[in-house]
Parts: sequence; structure tokens; C-alpha cells
Amino acid sequence: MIRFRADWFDGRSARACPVEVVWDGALLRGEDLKEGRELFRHPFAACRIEPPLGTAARLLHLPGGSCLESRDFRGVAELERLTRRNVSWRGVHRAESSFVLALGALGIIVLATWLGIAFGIPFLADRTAERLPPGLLSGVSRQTFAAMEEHYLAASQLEPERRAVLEGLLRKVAGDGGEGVSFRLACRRGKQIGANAFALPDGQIVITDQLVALAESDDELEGVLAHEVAHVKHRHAARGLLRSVGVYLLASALLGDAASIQTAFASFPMILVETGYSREFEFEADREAGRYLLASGRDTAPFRRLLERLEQSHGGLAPPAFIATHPPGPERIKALMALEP
Amino acid sequence: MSHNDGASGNYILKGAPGSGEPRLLRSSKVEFKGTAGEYFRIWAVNTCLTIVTCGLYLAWAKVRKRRYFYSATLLDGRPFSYTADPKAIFKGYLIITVCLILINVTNFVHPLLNTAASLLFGVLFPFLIHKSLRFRARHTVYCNIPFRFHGELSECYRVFFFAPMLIPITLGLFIPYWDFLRKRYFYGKMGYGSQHPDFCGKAGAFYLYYLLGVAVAAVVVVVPVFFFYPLFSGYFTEILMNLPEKQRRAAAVGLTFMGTMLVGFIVVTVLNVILYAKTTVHCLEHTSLGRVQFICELRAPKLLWIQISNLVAVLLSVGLLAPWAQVRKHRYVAESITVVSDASLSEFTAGLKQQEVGAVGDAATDFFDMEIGL
Repeated sequence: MIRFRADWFDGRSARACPVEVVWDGALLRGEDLKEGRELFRHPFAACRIEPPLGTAARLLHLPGGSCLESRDFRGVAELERLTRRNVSWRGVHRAESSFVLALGALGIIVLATWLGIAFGIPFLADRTAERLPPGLLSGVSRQTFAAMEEHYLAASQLEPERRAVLEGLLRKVAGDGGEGVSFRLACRRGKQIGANAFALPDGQIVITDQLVALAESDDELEGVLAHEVAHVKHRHAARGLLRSVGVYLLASALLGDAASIQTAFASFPMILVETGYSREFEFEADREAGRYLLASGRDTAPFRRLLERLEQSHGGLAPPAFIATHPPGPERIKALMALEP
Repeated sequence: MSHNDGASGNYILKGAPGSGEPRLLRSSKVEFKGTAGEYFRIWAVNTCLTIVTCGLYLAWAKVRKRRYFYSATLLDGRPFSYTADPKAIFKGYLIITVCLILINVTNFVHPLLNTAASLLFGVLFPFLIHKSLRFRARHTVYCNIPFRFHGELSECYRVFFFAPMLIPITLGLFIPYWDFLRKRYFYGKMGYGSQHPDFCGKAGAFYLYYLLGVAVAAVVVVVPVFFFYPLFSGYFTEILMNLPEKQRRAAAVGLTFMGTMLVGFIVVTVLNVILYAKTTVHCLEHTSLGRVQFICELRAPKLLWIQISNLVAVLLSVGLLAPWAQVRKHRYVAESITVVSDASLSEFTAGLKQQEVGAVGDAATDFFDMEIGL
């Protein structure tokens, strides 16, 4: 038998009626405190106890739409315990009431976030990217190429023979493309982008006249082409995209309640994570280029020299390492050297 | 003269305009009993559970956090409650997430699909708002009587779809009026129980507030810029001179861009806070629920201070102070509201039973962090 005091709200008006609630094992009865008459009688099985939350008053929902509000925490908790209601929520409430457990929860959040960013998201994104049909990105490849042609590229000023040599180099480096991917080389004069090369997921490789001019030997250009081909063969575009989706979902889970502070604040760490992934892909492409050069009996020196010259041509004005999409030149060169036996 | 009978409300004698008779008015200040420590623990445990379940627990976490704020907000010593069923919100989140992923993926099959999807979303937007307002109101309960949003879908489309089209035509002069329309739609249709609301706010006031906001923002920005520009331009020129020729233009562009963004951010923040404070006070004090009226003591300078110090604190603490910031802001806004009535609050009745409202609209507007109405 459990008794506790509560306010009864009949759900028809906002008036509160102080009652004494009695649970006798089967029924929940309410007696008006002032007049002593019985106001309600319900089988307890049909009643619902709202789980405890902070130091808020306890709520009980009764059939018929009325409810009880009680500050007799002991009484209601006792009723909950005896009738084995809200077992898991009571556990959550216990954790929320303990600073130690809350700090533990915070530790888990930090650990899980780090694990997610470092391993979870890359693993899931990369596995999914493997299973995606390769032709999926051909639409966006063509669109991106068209956009680049419109704003950043102009017609190449290289002689046709030179271009043919480069196309031959690409065929040598890329081998066969596989389904959905066909390697094609486009030589263009880069407008603002200067000495540059990039690869689109469907196998379209673009190299600028300025980069061709910067190279002192065809070996160096072979290294560049191998780097770009690696971007395509290892599906960096799809993997990067899926990883971004993962980061967005992770941020949504973390910031569930997006207050205005948090939305401005969240995008910066997300950018940090995404540029981190981008640098990882650059290192991977460098590695493949280095391995290609080594496998064909050469060393990584040609590619390294070109990277050094590229670095100098940009004059050292680069965004800080942690927010850049490419790793700093010196680090890339060091990584390449480490490949050599 | 004022009496205090020891209950949570104060009795004040006030003459009703035009009645010639003094009326006994009862005023109850909204109280917020939540604390940063308590909420921090709730936030930590629930966010942890969300991550550990790979996001499946998110709907339950959101409901529990919202329930905390509602139940810690007291009027006349009685708490509000949030009665939404997390299962319904979970379904809403699932639908939204699937749609988002589909849209992002189809964008790569054919980029035009993305445009189509955006257009579709634009058309559906007022519908989502409508559903969200009705859902939120239906599940906001005080003394076991739910609120009720009376807005019609047709009016929702007029306010949120057709009205914004006038903005470009009037070169932006329509914006304060659009704000007025949105607020009138919200405050004028938010009823409690069987009681319909009555909104008598004026669009003219909104124009005044926008003027004030723009003026203050201009002063706040223009004055320091004119003052500091001579100082900083020398400093920046020095940096630029140290760079090699080729980079100077790029660096100058970069610095100017960052500076403009920072200034823009400050302007927008100041403007938003002033507008929010002024329009909320105006709307609340021009809304009545039967014989219940409101007094709002929200002030822009204090709110601005709270928002900015909150932002700094959250940035410096890498987000750990976010729960504290939320509690702090909610406390200031909630406790600025006083409810005044010459009848007891317990005289409200429930009225007709409301139908259940699907949670997809609420989930969608929640997910995209759309601030509607308040």
C-alpha cells in the first residue's frame, strides 16, 4: 500500500485539485484532500508513470486523460520500484544525477567522436564507395569539367605533337580503366589556377600548360599523371563525398539540439575533419605515384623535384596546414623519400 | 496599492481602460528552475547514448532535453510539459534522413535532380511549418490542458510562400512587413485549451524596430571601422609589403574578405538580437488569451550581452559550456515574461479534443534547425 499527495488535473479544466493518492496493489485511487470523497479509481495497469527527469515534479497519466502531478518523489519512486515501471529510464536518471557518471559520459562522447572520425566514418564510407557503381559519378564529372572549362581553363597552347606524347604517357600509366572509367587527357591553359593538374572521377585528367612548362623531364610529368590516376583508381571523390555525409550525420547526432550558437560553431570543426580526409587522399595518391615510379625501375626523385618547384612557384603563401586540402610540400617530399629502399 | 496574499501571484489593483472601475489583477512571473549543472549532466548522458547507439537514440534524447526545459519552466508554481512521443519523432527523422541521402546521391546521377529536389522542398516548406507548429502546440501542455495552433494551411502558404515573393519586388522594403505577417500568424493563432488568442500588434512598430536595428548596427560597425581602419591599414600594409609581389593581391583580397565576413557577422548578430527582443516584447504585449495578457521585459542590450558572451564561452570551451549557455539564455527569456489576468488561470477549459498531428513536419523543421515563430 502506497500513499502520496498530488495535484489532480482532470484534463477538462486547468484547475488543480489536491488529492491523496492510494495504490493498493491493483487500483490507483484518488481522494479529494478537502472533501474526502473519491475522485477517481483506475486499474493501475492502465496508468502510466512519466519517467523521472531532473528535479521536476512527477507526472502520472491516468486513463480518461486526467493526470497527477506530485512532488512526493519518495512515494512515486517507491511505487515505480514496486511495480517495476520505467526500469531503464530510472537508470538513465541515475546517470544524469551523478556528476561522475556524467563526466564518464562526456569521456565516452570524446572517445567515440575521435574513433568515429579516425576510423568509423572512413571505414564505412570507403566500403560503401567500393560497392557503388563506377558510372554513378560520370554525370557530376562532366558537369564539373564543363564548369572548369568555363571559368578556369582556356585552350591549350601546346603543340599537337607534345599533347600526343602526353596522352601516350597517360595510356602507359593508367593501363585499362575498367567499367565506367575511361582515362582521357585534356591539356588546357590554366587561367588563375596556374600550374596545376586534376582528375575527375570518370577518368578525365586535366593538366595545364603551365605545369607542363614547369616540368624539366617527361618522368616528372609521368609522376603527376600517376598521382592523378591514383585519385581515380582509388575512388577518392566518392569516398570523400561519403565521408562528408558521415561527418554531417555525426555532427547532427552530437549537436542534436542545434541552437544558433552551435550551428555557426559546428561548421569549423567539420571543415577541419574534411580537409584532414582530403590530405589523407593526397598522401595516398602520392604513395601510388611513388610506387609506380619505383616499380618501373626509377626513383621518386623526378616527382619530388617537380613538387619542390611547384612549392616555390606558389611562393610559400599557403593556408595553414590544418585547414589546407593538400599537405605541405615538404611533408609530401619527405613521404616520397621514405618510399625508396 | 498592491497586496500579496502569500500565494505565488501578486495581486495588484489596476483600473481597466474605459471601465471606470478598479479591477483586481493577478500577475504571475514565469520562473525557470533549471540549472546549468543539472542540464549539463542530462545533456552529457543523452548525447553519449545517442553516439553509442549510432544516432538511433537521437529522438529520445531531443525529447528528453526539451522536456527538461519545459518542466523546469513554471507559471504559478506549475510546470509546463512536453508530451510528444519520441517514436513519432524518430519516424520523422528516418524519413528526413532517407530523403537527404537520396537527394545527395541522386545529385550525382543527374545534377538537375538536385534543382528539382530543392524546388520541391521549397514548395513543401510551408506545409512542414504548418505541421510543425501544430505538432509543437499540441504537445505543449500546462495543467493537463494542451495548447492549440489554429492556423490554416492556406494562410500558411500565403505567409510563407507567396508573401516572400514580394521581397525582391520591393527591394527588401517588404521585409519588416513579412516579419509582422509571420509573427501575427504565430501569436494570433496560438490558443490554449478552448481559448482563442487575440493579436493586435501593428506593422508600423515592426518598421520602427527594423529602422532602429539598422541604425544601431550601423553605429556599432561603422564607428569602430572608421576609428580602427587607419590603425590597421598601416599594420596590414606592412604585412603585405613583406610578401613577395605575386602574393600581395591574393593576400589583400583574402584579408578584405575575412574582414568583411567578420563585420557582416557582427552586423547580423546585433540586428537579429535587437529585432528579436523588440518584436517579441511587442507581440507578447499585444496578444491576449481571453482575459489573460502578458508583460515582457526582454531588453536588447542584456540579450546581446548574453548571446555574445555565450558564443565566446562555447568557442573557448570547445562546446563544453554549450549546456550552460542554453540554460542561461532560456532563463533570461523565460523569466522576462509575466502573465497578468483578472481571472484565475485555472478557469481555462480544454475545449474539443485535438486530433493527433504527425511528427514529420516537426522532425523536418527541427532537423534543419528552422526557427519559426518565437
